Amino acid sequence: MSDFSILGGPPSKRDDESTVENGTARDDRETDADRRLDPPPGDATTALHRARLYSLLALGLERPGGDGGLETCDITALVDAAAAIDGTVEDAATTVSDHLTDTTGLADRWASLFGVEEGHTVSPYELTYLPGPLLTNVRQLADIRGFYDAFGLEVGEEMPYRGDHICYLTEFLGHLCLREAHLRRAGDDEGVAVVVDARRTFVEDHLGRWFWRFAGDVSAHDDGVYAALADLLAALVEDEIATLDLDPEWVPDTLEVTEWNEGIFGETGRGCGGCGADASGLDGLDGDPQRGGVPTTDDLPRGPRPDRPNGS
Amino acid sequence: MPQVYNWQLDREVEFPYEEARPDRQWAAMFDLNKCISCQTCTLACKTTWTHEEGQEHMFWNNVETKPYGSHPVGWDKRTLSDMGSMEWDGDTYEGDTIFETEDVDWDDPENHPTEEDINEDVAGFMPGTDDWRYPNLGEDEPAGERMEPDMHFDEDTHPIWFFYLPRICNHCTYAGCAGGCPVQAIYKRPEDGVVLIDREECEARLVCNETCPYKKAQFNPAESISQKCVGCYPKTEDGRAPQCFENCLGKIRLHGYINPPEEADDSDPTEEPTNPMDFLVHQKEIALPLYPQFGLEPNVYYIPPTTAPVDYLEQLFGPGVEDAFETYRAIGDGDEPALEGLLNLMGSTEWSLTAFEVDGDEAVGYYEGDEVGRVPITEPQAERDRADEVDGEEVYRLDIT
Repeated sequence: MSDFSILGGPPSKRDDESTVENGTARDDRETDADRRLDPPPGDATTALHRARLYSLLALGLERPGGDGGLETCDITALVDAAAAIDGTVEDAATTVSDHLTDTTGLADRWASLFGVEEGHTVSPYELTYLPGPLLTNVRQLADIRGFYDAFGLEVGEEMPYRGDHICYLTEFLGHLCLREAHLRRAGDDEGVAVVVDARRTFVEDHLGRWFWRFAGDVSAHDDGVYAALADLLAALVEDEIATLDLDPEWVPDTLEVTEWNEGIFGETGRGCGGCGADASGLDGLDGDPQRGGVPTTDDLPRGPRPDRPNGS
Repeated sequence: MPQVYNWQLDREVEFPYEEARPDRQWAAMFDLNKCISCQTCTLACKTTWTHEEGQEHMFWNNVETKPYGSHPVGWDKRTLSDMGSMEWDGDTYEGDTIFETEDVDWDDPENHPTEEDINEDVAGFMPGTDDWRYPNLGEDEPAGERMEPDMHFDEDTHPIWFFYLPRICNHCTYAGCAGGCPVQAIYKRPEDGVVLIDREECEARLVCNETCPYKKAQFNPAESISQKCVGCYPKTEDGRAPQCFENCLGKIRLHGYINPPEEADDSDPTEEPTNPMDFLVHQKEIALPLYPQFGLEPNVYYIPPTTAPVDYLEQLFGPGVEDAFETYRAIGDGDEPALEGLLNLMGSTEWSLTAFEVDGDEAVGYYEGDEVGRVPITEPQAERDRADEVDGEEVYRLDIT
């Protein structure tokens, strides 16, 4: 018989407790001191520049027409901010600046690209780009909201978008950069490490996985300010990935029907993926394409109607 | 030989480690008469805990149809066939448990679980990849007589039957997974008896997959560790019932904490707040453990389904089935108002219940002294005739309420 009991805390922690009692140290365990992060490289000014650019993207990718939109931005300052980060980012910011000289028809263009009124030509939502059924991807939505919660932020009640909308993601990254700038100026190294670590994780787990798909889709459907904004987003995030030495797991380059339901549900598998609805039962209900594919009673299979019982 | 006392078998049993009970023991009760196998529990758990890569085959909570369903395939029959005769003398189990089948001397250091081949010393099997492929095997397949067009069932036990068996980790007092782990990475938490795998220590030896006879320790090939139901401890620590309990549409589940018989709460719920698990399991003996003869003192208890034959149910739940039926029928007759109230409290709150009492014609549930649920003991009910005459023929109803 050994002294081990199945009753107790995690065995890995029991070892730690016993080393404390014995006054000995185990050299293969990370201590709190080891975990304390050195302040990541960077400076307050660059952080502020990033914050401005992310804020520009958040404003630019939101539906135009509200107060405080793109037209309120100091474009010259933004181009200067981009120049301080990277030449590619500067070029992209300059192109955005060029397109902002005439913003007529911007709302219609946004609606055509991202609005629900015509269906999304390009989805501004992260979950759309992730592989696998929506049923399991909702966890990513919870993860995103967890980031907002952790920094005391929440989506305003008047805001109409789901938490994984591109304008929220960029606004959140801008907020983190702004905090970093303040913390650096205050000399709070631990605080800087926390916010930079959060940004690192957020970019790697979320925006860094799919920004390139979003940017590519926007460029394929637009050649104006939104293509320029998408290019700026791509340049900025690529710079983030290089600077923070990230390795995001990229989403597939096409909207894929996931492995488990491929061949069973076909494209309908992109639904929730949980109920196992069988699209084959809809054969014959495809409807007339001239009517937009909406089935009517004319499309229903014909057959004898069962007699009803008396009195019912 | 190491001996630990197993009250469910009314005797000492062999186990590789000394007896050690937690401060309180996480416990559950499922009323099988209510389960409709909607699998909401399964999905509530799946979407919370096991939706990542490497967990595709995992169902920490599953619902299978008995007698023909099993996940993994044949999990119970294959272990039972290893165990030989499983006779009871009254309430005392006379057969071998899974740790006794091979007549291993657990005091001999060579047989200690940390040595090689512990899995050879315990009854059971290692599920193969194919065994995890069929979670719906045998679903809704009836047993018994052949169905005839003019049949109707008047007896409690039906000649054609099946029932649904929801299963989660039993957080056993003598956990088979922990008893078998060769690197001692599995443990019971002292504060609530929840059985957990320490992911830092797990070396993926897979012995727990074999020595848990309920097959609730499962290998994750993506992470190269074994994983299991965690009893939703992040919720229960705050007093909330686990996901599969809170989401149960049929309200068949009760979460609480149980004491061993000698420490059980024997108070009267018509007079003072009483531990509901102790009341169901020890006082009323209406809820029974699943396969107690495995010898692990599982802590999920079941009210057996009255439509299934007693001999089959006794194999699953031990010798208390007839008595449990009698008590269950007494509830229907209005002779057990406290039990009736408690069964109505189930699913009425998202909180775990640590006590309940009868207050007039209502049952009241508590968590740590705070009222968390209040329901009528007898709900208004309309009863239709057992048979109607339609077009000159008598038409019987199976469900008349």
